Amino acid sequence: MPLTFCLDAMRTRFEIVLDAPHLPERDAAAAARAALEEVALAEARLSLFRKDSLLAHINRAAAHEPVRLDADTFDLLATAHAVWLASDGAFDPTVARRMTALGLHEDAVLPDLADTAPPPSPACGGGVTRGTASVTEGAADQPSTHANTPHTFAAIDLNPAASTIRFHAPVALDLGAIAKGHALDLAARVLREHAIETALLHAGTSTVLALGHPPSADAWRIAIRTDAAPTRGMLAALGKHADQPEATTPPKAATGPPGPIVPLTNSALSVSAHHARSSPTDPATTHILDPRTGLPAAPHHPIAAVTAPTATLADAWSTAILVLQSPPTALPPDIRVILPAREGVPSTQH
Amino acid sequence: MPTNRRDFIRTSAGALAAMAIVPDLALGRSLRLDAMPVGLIGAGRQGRVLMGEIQKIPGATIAAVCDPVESRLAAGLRRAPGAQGFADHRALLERSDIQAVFIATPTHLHRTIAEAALAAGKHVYCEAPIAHTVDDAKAVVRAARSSSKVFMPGLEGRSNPVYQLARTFFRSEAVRDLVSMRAQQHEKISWRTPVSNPADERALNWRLDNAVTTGLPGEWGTHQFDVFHWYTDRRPLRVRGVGSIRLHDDGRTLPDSVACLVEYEGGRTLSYEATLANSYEGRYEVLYGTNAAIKLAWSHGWMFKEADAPTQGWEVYANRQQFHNDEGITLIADATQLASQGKLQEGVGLPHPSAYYAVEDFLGACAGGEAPPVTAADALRATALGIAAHRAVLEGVTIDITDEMLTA
Repeated sequence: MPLTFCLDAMRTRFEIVLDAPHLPERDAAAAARAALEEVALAEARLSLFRKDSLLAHINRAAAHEPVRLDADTFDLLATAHAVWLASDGAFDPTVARRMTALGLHEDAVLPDLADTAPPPSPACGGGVTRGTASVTEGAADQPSTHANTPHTFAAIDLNPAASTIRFHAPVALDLGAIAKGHALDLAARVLREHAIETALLHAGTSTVLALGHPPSADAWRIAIRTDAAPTRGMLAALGKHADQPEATTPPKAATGPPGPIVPLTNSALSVSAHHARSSPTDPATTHILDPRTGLPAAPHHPIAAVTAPTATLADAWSTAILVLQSPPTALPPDIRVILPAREGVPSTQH
Repeated sequence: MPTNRRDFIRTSAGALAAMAIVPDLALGRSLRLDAMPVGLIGAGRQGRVLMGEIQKIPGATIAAVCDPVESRLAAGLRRAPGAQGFADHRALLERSDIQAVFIATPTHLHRTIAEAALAAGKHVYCEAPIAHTVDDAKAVVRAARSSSKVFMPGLEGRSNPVYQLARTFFRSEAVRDLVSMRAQQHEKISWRTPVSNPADERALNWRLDNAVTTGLPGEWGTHQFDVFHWYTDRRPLRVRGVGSIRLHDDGRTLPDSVACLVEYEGGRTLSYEATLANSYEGRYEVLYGTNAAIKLAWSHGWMFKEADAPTQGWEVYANRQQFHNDEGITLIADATQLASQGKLQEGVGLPHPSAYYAVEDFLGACAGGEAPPVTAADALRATALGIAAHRAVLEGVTIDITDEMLTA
């Protein structure tokens, strides 16, 4: 009998459905709760809306000196950097100030610009590249040299040897487009550490991570809703098991034109949509920003859906594809774009 | 005569100006160390919380992490990239470069490890409760007393800037005479840790093990009991309590919900409640006085004044928050300076988790700064009460808090 556990975090509802008949129920339950505790801890570290989060500390301090990071947070930011590069800047977590200016993050905790301007410093060599973001390989932290660095991810220096982050311009990070996926990956790691290989995890039904497959099916089947009206959920798992065809999540699902059904096994699916949220001061303004222009992304396609090996990648790439409207040439081979569908390219079953 | 708002605040807020006793919180405190390698012993949840805060302090380096459970050690090393991993604390203590250690192991291991660390010449930060029995707690106090090294129990309240500010209000006429106290910690969690290797059961689920646990009153309550002792200087006299399992009926016998009543000198009482079955209102402490009540919630604090309490000039500019029918004045550390900068609202809430300030105080003391704000003897009083409250819940009896329990 599958077990279900829930947690409200990151302003949405995380849910874990797992099937672990090989474990005593209390141990499976303990593992699920420990997995959700990782989600809660991730929120405490990465929330833009908590004054005492690690993210708030980074945004306050990284312009002044390198800020040390734990391995998971460093890996998250390195992943963000990789997606930023491959998407030609269409995904960029340094949009926090612009989002706030558009009324999309009214309660974000952001330091004053005057408090984040880095001090001028002499030029340097080594692994720091002028004008583009860098992941400094093996070098000690270098002083800032980016007086004219644009206020994008190009202003961020990640040093894997020291596990630090440093800003070279008064930017601020907003990890909202990647943090839920990251939290799901951390939760899944806990489940796997306790020999739970069959589970479905989701964050607010916009990002889903599948471990294994249900007992009587070869994959978890996830339906994507494509209706344009605002909805509380865009994904629905078609039964916790294949022999239960009715949708289970969310309970008050909006109906609309049928979208694709995506089979998932040890992979993730994420959906980003213009209609999911908008500015409270201008309902016509989508919450999806084009970081390259600083303006709301053009809504040519209302929804983007992406599968990836991890929920972190799926979360980031669904946002990038919504901005780009089509896959970039540097799209990694393990990232698959479900929506917008490309003509003549079958994506999945309907 | 004040000529502008800034002058008005400075000249009329005499009490508040005196209470702006903490450094500018806009960028956090400014502790910087000269290369201090530290070790972390016990990489469970609290150990990882501590590691996150240690990492924020320039100069402090987590050089080593110790945990006998492989999965926990791995999780701990992810928190501190570059640290050396150990399965045995004795091997970690042999590293001569490590100057200080943080002990965040199961409570019943605190005494052994604290004594060994002090004997090895390390400064010691020891999580609270400092032991699972009164005898062990006394042994920790004696070891700390006879060592020249810094010993600081992990009672975070005393390092918390909001709590420090609120204490000055409590000790002024703002609150007046103490009526009673109340504390709760509600958190809907299990306390059961998943175990992949049966050999790790006792190591991971020690909090549910009746042979060693101090239960909710000990593991959680100790931290809050110390706040009340610090504020009031009052001695607990006796405690009674009840407990039951309201949600986690998974084979454990430890109550997941408790309610205790502690009697103090002078007829004051502390009502304490804790549960793993509900999260509403989380963790907080309240001190009720005849002029006002002070509510403390770790990152925030408020004062609720009685209608007939005198009004201070600074209250005109105070930040306020509405709680149903009650209006609370938000207690903001360094409010005077923030108000003069027009940044009072930004001072609501602390910029770091509570553990950060305790870590900062400990490492500052290790570097030759001020002595820690809390001593082993303080921790003995709170720990003894927590242990007694747990026993009162389990046995259904009233436990007297004797002088012998509080003296090492």
